[in-house]
Amino acid sequence: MAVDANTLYGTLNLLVLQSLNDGPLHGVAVSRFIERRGDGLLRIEEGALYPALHRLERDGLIDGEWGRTDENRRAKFYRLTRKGKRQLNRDTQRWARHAQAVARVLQIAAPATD
Amino acid sequence: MDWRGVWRGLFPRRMLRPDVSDEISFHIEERIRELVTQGWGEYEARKHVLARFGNVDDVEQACLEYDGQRMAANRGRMMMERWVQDLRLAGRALRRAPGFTAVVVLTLALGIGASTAVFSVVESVLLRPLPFRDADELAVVWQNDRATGTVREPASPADFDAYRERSRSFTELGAYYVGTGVFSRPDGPAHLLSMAYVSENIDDVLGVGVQRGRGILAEEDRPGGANVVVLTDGFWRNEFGADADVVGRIVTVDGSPFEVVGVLEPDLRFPEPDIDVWLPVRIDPANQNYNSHWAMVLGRMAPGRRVEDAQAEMASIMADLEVERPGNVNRGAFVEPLAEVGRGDVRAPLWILFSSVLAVLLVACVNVANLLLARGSARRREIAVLRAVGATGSQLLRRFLAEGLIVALVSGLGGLLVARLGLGVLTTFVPPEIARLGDPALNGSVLGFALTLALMVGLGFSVLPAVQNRRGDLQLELRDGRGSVGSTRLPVRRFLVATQLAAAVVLLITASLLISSVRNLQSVDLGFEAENVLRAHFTVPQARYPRSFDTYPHWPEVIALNRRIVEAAEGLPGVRSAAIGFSHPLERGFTNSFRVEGREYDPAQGEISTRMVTPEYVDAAGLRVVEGRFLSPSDDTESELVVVLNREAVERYFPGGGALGRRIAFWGPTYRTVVGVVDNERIHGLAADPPPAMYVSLLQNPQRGGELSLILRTEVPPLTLVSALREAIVGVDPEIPVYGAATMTETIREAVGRERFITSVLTFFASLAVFLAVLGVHGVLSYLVAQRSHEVGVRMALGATRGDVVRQIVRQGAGMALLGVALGVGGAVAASGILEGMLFGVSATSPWVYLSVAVGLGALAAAASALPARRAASVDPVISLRGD
Repeated sequence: MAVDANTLYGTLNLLVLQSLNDGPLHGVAVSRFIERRGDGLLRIEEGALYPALHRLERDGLIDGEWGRTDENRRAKFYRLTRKGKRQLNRDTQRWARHAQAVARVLQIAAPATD
Repeated sequence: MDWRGVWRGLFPRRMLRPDVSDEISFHIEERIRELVTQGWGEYEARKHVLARFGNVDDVEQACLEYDGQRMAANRGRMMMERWVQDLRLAGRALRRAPGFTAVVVLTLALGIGASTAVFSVVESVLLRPLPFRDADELAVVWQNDRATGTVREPASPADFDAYRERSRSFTELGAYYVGTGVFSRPDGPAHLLSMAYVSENIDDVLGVGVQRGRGILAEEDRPGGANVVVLTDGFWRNEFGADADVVGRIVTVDGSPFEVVGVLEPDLRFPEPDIDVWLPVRIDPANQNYNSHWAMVLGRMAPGRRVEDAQAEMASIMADLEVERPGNVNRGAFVEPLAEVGRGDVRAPLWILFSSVLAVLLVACVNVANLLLARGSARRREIAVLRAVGATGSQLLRRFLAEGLIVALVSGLGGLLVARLGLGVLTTFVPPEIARLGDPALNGSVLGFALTLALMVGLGFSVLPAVQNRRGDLQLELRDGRGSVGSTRLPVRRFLVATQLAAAVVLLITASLLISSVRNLQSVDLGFEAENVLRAHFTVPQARYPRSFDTYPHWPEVIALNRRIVEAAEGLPGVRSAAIGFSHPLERGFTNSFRVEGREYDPAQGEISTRMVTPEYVDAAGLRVVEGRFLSPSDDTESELVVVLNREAVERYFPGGGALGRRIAFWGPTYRTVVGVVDNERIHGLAADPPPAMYVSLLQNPQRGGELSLILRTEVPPLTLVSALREAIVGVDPEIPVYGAATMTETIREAVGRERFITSVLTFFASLAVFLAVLGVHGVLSYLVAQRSHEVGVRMALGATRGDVVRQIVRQGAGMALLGVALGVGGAVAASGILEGMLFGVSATSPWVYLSVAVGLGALAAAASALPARRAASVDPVISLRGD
């Protein structure tokens, strides 16, 4: 069963930030990352990714810059700002605590955190 | 100039929409490519991707929304960041040239500071509005006397009553005069009181009020009204420690009890800055004496009325009074806005000072401009490199603006510091007659002025190099930094230096004229001897020395007091002679109309200045007796009434001679015999010729007023006697305060205080301008020599002698000097009209002064060009050519 990531509050933001943790990516790469890491279980409506990216950019959590892909195509790359990095750490912990709490209530094994 | 480019450079903004669409189409195309490589058909792939993506327009809209918000938030910050960046770069550039920066900032700070200091005086004296409600409606109604040609005289009380009755231009007219009295309290020494006698409505005229108690009531402002006094805020604080219960207290003024009824509002200083109390003026409607003029009249014009209207009306009232009253013959009216009173005389001198300091600033700015141009040439290579790596014109302009801003801010701050110090120095020199008109301070308008100056200078500082770098052949610059050295700029610089010299010439001529004027003033024949004379004032508490007008001049107590005071003063060791005068030398005093026995009274003869003195005055002041004798101690109330005339009076009224033994009457019908003639003593300041005057004895005609002067001729430095004198007078009567002690030479200095102030400040500015201008000549020529060392080398290699080289450079300098001096002389002649009225004994176009300044400054400029010329001559052709 696929979970619609849009329905989980703040989840999309967290996923985007996490996707950029290892280095700058353009939007397509971000959606691929989320697809891959979620084993296809987490599905987002692809269009919704962009408002999220621009909102995060507005809030100074990520920074967009035009660059070239490996195939030499013009694309906008996003990277985590220091502020974004801090936010990612905070949200990851909060998410883990939240998930543990929910898991305890449901009496299932807590998901592992990174 | 590409203004739009400049604008965009200054305020960057990015186009948003293409960004977002590009990003989204990249996403879609990338996804399609992905599917196509997996074997999808192009059409299906696109359909699938678009379906998965959702509504492209909505997404784009949302993204733009966020981008817009981000841009809005960022634009300010980005601009700030760019400016901070520019400022940092500019700061670094300025720091890389510390000598240049220091000279520029110091020069500008001095110029801005001096201008600001002078402006603060101008602002306080000339520009600041009076602290009264609708102050432009207030005007003083003076009288003038066509017989004597005097203007700005007070009115007679009878005239004041007539004004009030007949005037329609004024909604309210008040009267006042200023006097001194003795304030005594049981617990301290008696001291001088500055009093304003005011009509009860003066607070309505001015639109002011009290902070405590009440003002003077109409029934108190009548003969026989209750003795009341209103304190000024300053007096209340100093004398009563701001006692909240002061209203109702009884104080002793001139020996009589007065009830304190109120305290005036703070900061109310009327009519003089140092007034202590207001008392009712008590004009007697029954007093029909038209000949005593002491009432200052202040009116509030009806809304919409102009001064001209009031002038016309008062003139016609005075014309009617001339017909109605014999005593009013020759008297007219002169209505002057209150804001003008006292300012008229200082306006021209202050504006001259202000223009001079601006001229100094101009000279300073020219020096800075020359420095900038020189540095600009040196920087061309740096700029060219910046251009080569892609810096646009607007980026360069922003860079220059940043440098200008830094220079403006630093020199503006420095200027404020200089202004503070300068104002401190300036206010110690400001003569009292100017100081009483305003209280200079670095207030909002002055700060605004300094800021404006600094920003203007900073803008100039930025625009100049920008214009200089407007065009430039990049390749040429890069290939050879010296390629197009600003030879085209040189005429501009020569002209700038000539302007500088011209300003210096104008200032120097003005200063020289003023200096000789002051010197002439100080060497006039005073008609008295000022060396070793002490002058002090004292006030007699009138209630203690009975004086009934029915028995005048038989006031034995007053006369005895005069004798005792003279004796006490003469008894002091070191005193050669001592006298009392109702007026002292150089003091205007008062005038009377008079009649010569055996002649018809002639109103056109004008009035004669009356000097009431004790007989010792002739020795104490050092008058020269020309004919007959001076007043004698034996002239008393029992002997023949006598009078001594000055030479001017004899020449005017007894042109055929034979004044001795003639009799004249003033103060009523009593005749007094002329027993002597003295040489003219200057009493209308130093510049004006002495008017006709007469001397009468205080032992024969005791004083009716309270304040008198002591004149002591001493054998020791006069000021060493002040405290002994004070004690001696206290020995006569402890309630007689002695104050205002000064030497006569000091009084003379004060009499030319305004002239000396203007002259010394202007001389300082002129020297500064000359110094800066000479520096300018030297700087430009040095630059020229440095730039031309190559050319000089070539010329010398081709056989030019060192002499040829020196001559060439000096000729350049002389050319600038000649142009500058010519411009300056022209400017000085053009400005001479303004100066003419301020000069004494020297013409504003005195050829001698002009010539010496022109020659002197020309010589200085030549000397300033000699140094660079010698440097040029020492160029070694081999070295300078090898440098290529």
